[in-house]
Amino acid sequence: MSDMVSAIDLVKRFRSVRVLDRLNLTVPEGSVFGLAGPNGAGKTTTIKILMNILRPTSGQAAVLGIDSRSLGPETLTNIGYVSENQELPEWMTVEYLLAYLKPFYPAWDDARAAQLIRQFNLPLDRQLRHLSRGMRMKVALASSLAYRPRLLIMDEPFSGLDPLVREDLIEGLLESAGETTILISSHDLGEIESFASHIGYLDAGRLQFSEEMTSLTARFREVEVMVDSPPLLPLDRPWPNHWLRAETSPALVRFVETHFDAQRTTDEIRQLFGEVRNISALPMSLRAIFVTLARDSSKAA
Amino acid sequence: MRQALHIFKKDARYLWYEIALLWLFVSAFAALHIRTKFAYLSGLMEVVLVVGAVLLIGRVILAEAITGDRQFWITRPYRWQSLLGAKILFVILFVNLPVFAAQFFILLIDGFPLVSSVPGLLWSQLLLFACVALPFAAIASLSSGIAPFIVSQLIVLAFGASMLALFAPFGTRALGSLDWVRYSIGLLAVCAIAVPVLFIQYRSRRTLLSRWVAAGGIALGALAFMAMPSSFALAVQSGLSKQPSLGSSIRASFGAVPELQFSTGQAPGKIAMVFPIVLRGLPEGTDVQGDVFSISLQSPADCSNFSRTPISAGVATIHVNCFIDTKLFGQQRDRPVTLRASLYFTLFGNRQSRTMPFNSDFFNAPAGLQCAAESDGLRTAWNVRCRSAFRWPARLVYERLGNSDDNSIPQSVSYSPFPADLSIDPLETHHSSTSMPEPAPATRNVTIIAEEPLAHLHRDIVARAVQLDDFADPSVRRR
Repeated sequence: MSDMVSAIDLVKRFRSVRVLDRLNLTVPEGSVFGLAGPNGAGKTTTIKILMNILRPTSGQAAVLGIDSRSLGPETLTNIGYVSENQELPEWMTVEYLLAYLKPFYPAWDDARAAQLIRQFNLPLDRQLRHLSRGMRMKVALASSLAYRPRLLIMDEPFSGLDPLVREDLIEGLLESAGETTILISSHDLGEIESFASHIGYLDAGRLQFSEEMTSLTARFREVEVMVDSPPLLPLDRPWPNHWLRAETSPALVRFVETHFDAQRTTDEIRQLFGEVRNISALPMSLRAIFVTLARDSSKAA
Repeated sequence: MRQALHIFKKDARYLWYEIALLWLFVSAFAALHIRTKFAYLSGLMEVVLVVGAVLLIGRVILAEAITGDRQFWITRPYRWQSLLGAKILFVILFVNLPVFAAQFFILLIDGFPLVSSVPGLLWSQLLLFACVALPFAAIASLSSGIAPFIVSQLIVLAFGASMLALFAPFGTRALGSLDWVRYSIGLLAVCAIAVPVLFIQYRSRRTLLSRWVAAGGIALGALAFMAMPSSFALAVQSGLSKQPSLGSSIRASFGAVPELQFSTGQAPGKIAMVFPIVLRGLPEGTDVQGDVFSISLQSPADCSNFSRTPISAGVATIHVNCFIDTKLFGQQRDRPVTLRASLYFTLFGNRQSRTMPFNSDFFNAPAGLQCAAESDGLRTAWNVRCRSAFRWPARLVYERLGNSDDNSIPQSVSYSPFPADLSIDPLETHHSSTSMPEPAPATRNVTIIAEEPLAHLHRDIVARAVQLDDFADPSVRRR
């Protein structure tokens, strides 16, 4: 499986502000890659560099094997781009926009376009300026899926949309997943969780981790340890690094295990606290994982 | 090409209202020419037309704005050549073509021969495209919206004006008939800046680099425009002489100042002076006209008006009216000084003429002109009106009424070899008025005379041990 997107030591400065700090990222072919991170983490900047909208200060990014700075029309016929910030030609009707874009894409599929129009219930005769935000996002997505792109890049597509529209968009995406590799940046972790196969977490311009969704959810656990007496930890034996947000109370120790392995985690707990009454390790939602990581990161900062 | 046409069709659909409005302006502009009653409005309509055309250019470029990072088209497979090609095609078809049609229509209605007007029509369109459309398209390509586009124009205008103000003290002097060289350089610079800016913007969307290129280009262009020496303009003009060897026998020297030459008015802090330059050895059948005069005094003398005595036996005197600084004059007037001057002048010949009756319609005069003459009922005042397609011919044109003196129409002409000036109006019109104290019943017609420039010449003149006082306005002389 080859990489559809790769970034090596990507740096982007805006004057003195370093927005991307030696970012390394790969998006495997066929994946639905969710790029998550707090506001100002550099998600939009990363995507704009990948789309050759911005130039990196240093480092390299490649899309479909082509240096992003050399991204030309031939490559763009295989890439779809949908962004909450994109300015569409609002004077066009939906029908005219689709008809206008069609000749740009040799692989434009009329049947697929018709199916997307039906699926998204697009009003063909309406000008884009008279459409709701959600409907405009649907038009943008339809106009990007109708030519069956190899790669679809989406920047915060669900931001500010009502749940029904989100559901429609995700449905549309899922139908294309597989033949189209999808890179999607979003704050909406709940939505990403439902369909992303890979996840990357960007913070302060650096990718904190990037891995398959199954692996991520498997290694994060919210652990609760019931103890008989308050835990007294000797100074020379700190909490393990992979335990985050550790809290103690007279009869309870709670933390987030970032590298959960039932046997090893139990052994580590016993090493620290001796015999304990009960250990529970609960799976975490993506949202809970990111909140943990974001808080830990801001605490460290 | 297919993609360019596709984008072009989209732009035409998007901007049909503005296109229709521009056609309306163009039609009104042409109609005002026919309705002579409202001819005074045609200048205003020309301004409206220019503003409309500039806004249309801005709108079409900004339909796919280059500056910014949110435009939908930048993530779509546009080829930059197609996009630029579509915009150029749009400008040619919806800006140049309507103006071309209006000019063609005006010339047709006014009876100018269309075949001989073709070079002017084409050159006029080339100038409008290269020196107006391209620069405004370049400004639009550096702007993110129509408001920044308008603001950018104001910034460019302010920048140009400040450059003019900055370099003006370094001695820009009017080059009269040779000024076309300086203006050609200015227009060439404007076009030469627009082309690389558009290229960089459409090829790689590097707005900051383009802005530096534009600012640097404007500064260099302004410098070249302001600091161009007269000698360069004359060298260019001399190279275009039809018979450069014609004036080889001409000698020049300072002459005596006649009292009647002092009608040049006053200038604050300046003394009016007249420098008479005698030209000997003028070839038979030629006429002469002064173009540029410079004289080496300690500060620049402002010399602009030339008048000439009738040519007799190959001798004529050109009187050059100058103003020099009062303080400098006060310091130099009582001591003998050496005057070093340069006179640029032109020899004219190959006279053509045509006589026409008064109160007739426009008739064809020499040098492609159309002229009409009117007189009042008493025949004490005459007005001769001549018009030319696209630009006044590079000819010495004057009118003669019976036995009266010749009147130049106009006083100064450009020797530009190009068939059109930068203007939407395809006609250049000049008047000459004459009045006589007594009715002249015998005068029933007027003759229009045109002479073509044969040689552009230059002579350096030195006069030693002369008194500046001798050249000054008699009212300030001590002797």
